[in-house]
Amino acid sequence: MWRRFGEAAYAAVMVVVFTIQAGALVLVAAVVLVASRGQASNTLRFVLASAVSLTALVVMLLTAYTLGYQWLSSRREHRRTAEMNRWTERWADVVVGGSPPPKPQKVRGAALEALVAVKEQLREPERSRAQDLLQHFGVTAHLLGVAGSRRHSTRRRYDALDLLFRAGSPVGFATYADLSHDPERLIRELTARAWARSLASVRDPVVLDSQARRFTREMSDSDLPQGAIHEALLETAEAAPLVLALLLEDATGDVLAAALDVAGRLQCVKMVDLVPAHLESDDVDVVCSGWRALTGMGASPQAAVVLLPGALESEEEEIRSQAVRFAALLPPSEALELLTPRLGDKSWWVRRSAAWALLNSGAKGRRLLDDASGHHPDPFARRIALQVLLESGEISAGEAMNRAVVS
Amino acid sequence: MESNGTDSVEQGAVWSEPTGSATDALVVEDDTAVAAIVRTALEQAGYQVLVTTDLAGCRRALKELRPEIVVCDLDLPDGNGLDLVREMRALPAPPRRIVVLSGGARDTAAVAALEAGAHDFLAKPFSPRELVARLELR
Repeated sequence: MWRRFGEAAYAAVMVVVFTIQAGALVLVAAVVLVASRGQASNTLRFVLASAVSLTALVVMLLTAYTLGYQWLSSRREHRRTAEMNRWTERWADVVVGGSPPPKPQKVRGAALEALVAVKEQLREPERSRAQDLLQHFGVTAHLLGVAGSRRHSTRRRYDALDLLFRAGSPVGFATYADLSHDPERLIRELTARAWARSLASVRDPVVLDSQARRFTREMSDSDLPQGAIHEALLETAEAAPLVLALLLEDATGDVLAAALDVAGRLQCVKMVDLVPAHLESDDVDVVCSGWRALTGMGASPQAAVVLLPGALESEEEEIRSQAVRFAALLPPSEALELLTPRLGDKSWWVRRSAAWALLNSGAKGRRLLDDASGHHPDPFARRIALQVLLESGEISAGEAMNRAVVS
Repeated sequence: MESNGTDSVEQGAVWSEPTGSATDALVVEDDTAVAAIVRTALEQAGYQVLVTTDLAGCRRALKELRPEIVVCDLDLPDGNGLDLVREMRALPAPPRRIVVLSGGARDTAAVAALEAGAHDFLAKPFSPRELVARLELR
């Protein structure tokens, strides 16, 4: 923790701590040697003095090692940062300023990372210029080679995939397809993200279509956790409508749930008609993701609205909770009728979602919530209504206390 | 880049060499790549640019140099760029243009920046040409 106060402070603390330890050991040895004069054999005194001196020496060696390591690593870090800064300036000059690129040479290490960092921050047309440089210097091919080779360590392959992910170049699909069967889960996870971001940068519709189909096939068969698939799908960006539509038609289980969630998060309203079919799935996660997707899109297709009363009465708490949130999208008259009974739901989450939905359903909803906080026959409904009114700042803590006492 | 007497502003802050215009631009950005891109784009547009990586350096630069335009990030190592925007707008002679450049959630960050008093907002990744165009709006 001392390193955050600077290298000098850290070095000073290390020297002081270890000097105190070594000093204490020398002092103990001296005191014992003097005190034992004439009372113990010379051999015993020699052994004692040697053991203590040796320990002190080890402590001093440890100090030297720690400080030396710190000095070397901080020097290396400074050199690396300086090199990165130099290359970043240089690439910015080439890509944005129009300066000629460096003479053909290997772009590796700091030069490579700096070029990727510059590309990552740019939009078109400068982004394409950076991409041309990556191709020109063989950077993408090099990274794909490292990521795809099992001769390299997992760490090195992971770093290469991370750079490929950040670069988002529209190439390397065959390598990604191979890597999605890699025995290392970390590699498979990052491959999915790098592949998704590469898809996002494909401009040729024919290539995009075929590669999106390949990607969705691999994702559908993937054993990656739902969270990892979700993260990868979010990276598809411009390619998301195509990728998600394919998954909503063919995928099942976790992959389908992830696709529905991402469709909602990216507000892909175009695929609103593909969602209701999944609201009757046997998989609770899929149904919840479906309602969440529609809420995220802000869309209430009739095919979903007819299923809403059933979802609000579902045995599954999470389905009722998501359905309540969706109900808030309906016209106020319909929404209030469906939401008010849910204030007395047996689940705290559903009651809470209903109370918030009522609060956000216009003046009438707010009045209903206000009324429920004092007069609802169910004490749990009164309590959640009060809590939400208090949390939203609609009523003061004093007023909430008064109402709680009265009711 | 040579320092031209502004080292008192901040150790590590760098002025570009004058490029024929007396216009001053201050870039407050801790990401090396973004700072380099913005500086290159502004220099090309004829600005004399100072880059600083934190709020403290920016405050000193504002006091001593009174830049005409400021491009700032929202997430800075020693504080929030929104506070900085509010401080700049409260100055007796605020910069002519303040543009916030942020990688955060696009809509939320844009609204927060404009509410704080920024003249414009640009999300990362960005187009350097668009940035310059927005800075030159009157």
